Amino acid sequence: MSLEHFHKAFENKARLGIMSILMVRDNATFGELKELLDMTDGNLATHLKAIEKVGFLSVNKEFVDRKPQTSYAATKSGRAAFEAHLKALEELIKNSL
Amino acid sequence: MEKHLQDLKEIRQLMERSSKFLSLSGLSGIAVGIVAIVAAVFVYMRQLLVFGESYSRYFNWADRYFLIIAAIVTIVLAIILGIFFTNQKAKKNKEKLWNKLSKKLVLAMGLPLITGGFLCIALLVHGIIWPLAGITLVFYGMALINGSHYTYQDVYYLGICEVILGIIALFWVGYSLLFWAIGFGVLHIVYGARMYVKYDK
Repeated sequence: MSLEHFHKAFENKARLGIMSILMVRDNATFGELKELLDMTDGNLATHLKAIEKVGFLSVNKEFVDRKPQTSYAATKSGRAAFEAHLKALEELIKNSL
Repeated sequence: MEKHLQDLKEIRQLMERSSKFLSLSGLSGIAVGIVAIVAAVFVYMRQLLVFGESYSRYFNWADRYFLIIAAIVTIVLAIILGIFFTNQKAKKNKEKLWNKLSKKLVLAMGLPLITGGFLCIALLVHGIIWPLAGITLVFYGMALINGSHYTYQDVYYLGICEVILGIIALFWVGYSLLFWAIGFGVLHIVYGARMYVKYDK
């Protein structure tokens, strides 16, 4: 079993959720992520920080209507790692059936 | 193992929910279909009254204005009803009607529709009426195929059906209004009902 592909960055549901969204969208704002994942500000921010630390997402801060807006996007390495993780998940399930 | 399976399911759901506008209502399809059938019957009645069975007379400007006004009334009614039911579903889903995804959907559908619209107007101005039913079906089908990236996959197949009907209508010109009624009327009602049962219930 290829457990080496089970990356630590995706060890919990919240992080998996964040990455799943960023895989299919160019970017997502903090507010959008919060709404989609139904998480609190603090909780979401912590998880985003953790994923950012390993270089799987990039942060972009800009002003929209004079309000600061933070948006997130998956990096190339983040995409590759998530895909490997998904593949490992599928493999694991297939082998157990 | 159950946990991994659950994880995969949730990933799939999140991916879909965050990249597709899923508040498109089946009822919208049914309403639009009914409007289309009423419009087709209306146009057909006038044709019978004015031309009889003969088609011996050329299209004059009154005919063109009638077609343009009928088309505008039909489109406006269809859009209003379409938005109305979709808005209701969006409210139920606690999703905004006008969000990033619905904007993308409207843009993806709008470009082929506006192109087709100008083509139809140009043909109409030059007095070429016969391909209009087919062309509206073909371009509407292309718009659906293009827009399906941002909503339910079913819309893609509806688009293909509309394009095929449109092409048949272009060759089988005598029955093009009938094909128009089938494409915009019957197909919308059938698909709307199917989507309503599948997603809205």
